Amino acid sequence: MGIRADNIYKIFRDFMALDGVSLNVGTGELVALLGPSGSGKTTLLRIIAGLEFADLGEIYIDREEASHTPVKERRVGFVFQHYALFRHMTVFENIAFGLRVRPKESRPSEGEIRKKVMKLIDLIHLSGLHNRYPAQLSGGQRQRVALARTLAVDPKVLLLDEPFGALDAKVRKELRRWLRKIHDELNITTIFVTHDQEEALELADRVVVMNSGKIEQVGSPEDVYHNPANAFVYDFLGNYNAFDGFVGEDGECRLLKNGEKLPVGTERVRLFARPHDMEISPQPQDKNAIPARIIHINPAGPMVSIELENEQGKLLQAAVTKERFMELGLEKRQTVYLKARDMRLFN
Amino acid sequence: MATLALSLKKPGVIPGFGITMGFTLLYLALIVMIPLAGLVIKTLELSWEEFVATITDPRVVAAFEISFGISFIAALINAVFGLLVAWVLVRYDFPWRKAIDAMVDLPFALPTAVAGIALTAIYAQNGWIGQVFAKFGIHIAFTPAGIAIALVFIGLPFVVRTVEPVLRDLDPEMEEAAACLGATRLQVFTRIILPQVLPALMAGFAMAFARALGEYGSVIFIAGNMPYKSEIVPLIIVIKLEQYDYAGATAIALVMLIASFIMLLVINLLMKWSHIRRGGGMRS
Repeated sequence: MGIRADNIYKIFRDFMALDGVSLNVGTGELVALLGPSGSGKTTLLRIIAGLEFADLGEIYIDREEASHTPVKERRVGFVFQHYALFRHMTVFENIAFGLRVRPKESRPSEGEIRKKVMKLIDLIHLSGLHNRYPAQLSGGQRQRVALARTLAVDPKVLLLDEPFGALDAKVRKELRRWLRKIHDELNITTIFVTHDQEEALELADRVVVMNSGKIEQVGSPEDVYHNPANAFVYDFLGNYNAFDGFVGEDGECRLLKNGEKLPVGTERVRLFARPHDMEISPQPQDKNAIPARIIHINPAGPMVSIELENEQGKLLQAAVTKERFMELGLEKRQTVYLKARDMRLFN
Repeated sequence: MATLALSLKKPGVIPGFGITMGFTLLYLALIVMIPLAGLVIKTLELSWEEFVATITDPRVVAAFEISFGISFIAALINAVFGLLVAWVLVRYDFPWRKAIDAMVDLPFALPTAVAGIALTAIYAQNGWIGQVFAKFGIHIAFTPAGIAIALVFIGLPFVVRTVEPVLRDLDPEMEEAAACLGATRLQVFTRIILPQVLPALMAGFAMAFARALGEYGSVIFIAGNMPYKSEIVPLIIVIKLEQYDYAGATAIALVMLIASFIMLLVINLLMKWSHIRRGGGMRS
């Protein structure tokens, strides 16, 4: 059950939330809409769900035009960041809600409802808690109930709006894995919104990076991470250092050192390098090396992350392996030389 | 003794438990408990037979029926339309919303006698609205219908002001979630909104009802005050007082007091029950 969004525009008063967005999601795909707040990702999701309507453009669900279909007829499952559980109903009644509100002709019998709900409660590992109220559950449990509630109506597509945003890091990781598992089992077309790049890269088949109402890049996690289309995507997907530089006659990128003049016939460009692509050495590696002073060392984690300050007082970041760190014997306030192994240039 | 003193005193960050609690008790005693106790003591002047005779007097019984019956109907009308008014004020933005919002409080502030005279003038046979109904042979002023209108008037703000904050606090995502699950608008209202508003609605109903029972000023102008037909209990009490039958007046008042107390208790229990049913009422 694919989803297609065609040239969607949405304006809120004087704010362009979506500026001509087109997106294709294939059957059974798990797609992440990634972007900072205000990038329009949630608006796009809500327009696909039918909770919001586009000013221009069309939505197709399962190859059918659905732009004006009311939300209750679209058969989409929508999971909210803050769960939106019915707080006056038990876990059981929350999950059964979608079945109970069906018109008489298509409503399953009480026994069938019970069977289905109990099966879903098993699926979300909440057996025995079916008589609890939402207020008596933890955040992670509530979000699982919210997911079971949408799965109960056999939606054609599953839409999740920052589903793990309100949970703590550990529960978030666990639920991520669990969502992946459920998606693989049910093979249901899923789109989720997140501002957490790690979440998007880890969970999705395809990542859609959005910024100020436009799609910046669509691609596999590997693709967007290693071949970012532009500076925004590069910036959004990780920490980086930015340098002033120029493209030399041989076509190589060179850094502009402190006080150095731009060679005649070249143009000033911005060069980017990831912290783990930075090489640290106590002596200058070559004449392109940048001197910097170490201002902070964080050894917690798989890599040792080091913050440095160059001669102009600009912050630089580097990450080295534990072994390399010991080998170099780096210390705070020490002056070292930096060189980028891999630099990127965006036009 | 020591344990009792300990259990009573729960020192917290905010000082002044002793003095505020003392003041609260004194205040309630002076303003509420002592006058009510006086009511009971005065009633005790009557023998049991006299007491029964007073409160079972057909004219008094008729007044009880009118007072409780019409107050209940008025509170019910207010519950329905008060919810509607609160809904419109919370959910929609329109010109003059603030002014209309302020208007809801007028019945709180207006002297009830003024309201009674104004309503009578409008609903009387030759009044603006009264003459329209008079054409169809319906008389409002000087009948029980007039009493109901006066009681609806004074009770409205109680419902609106108790329901409004709860409606404002409702999570719109809950309604969206219900719609996504296939619920119709009516189902969203009856299954999602109403159950959450119900405790506040019942509280507003109870207050409007209690207020209506005790209302005197606005009703006596519009009621016509015909014995057995449109005489309310507070009026009977005033009549008894004017005849220097103080014990008789307090006897009726006592019955009224007990009946109101039971009603409020029942409503409170209902609210508590629905609160527990919602899992302690905490926000999800």
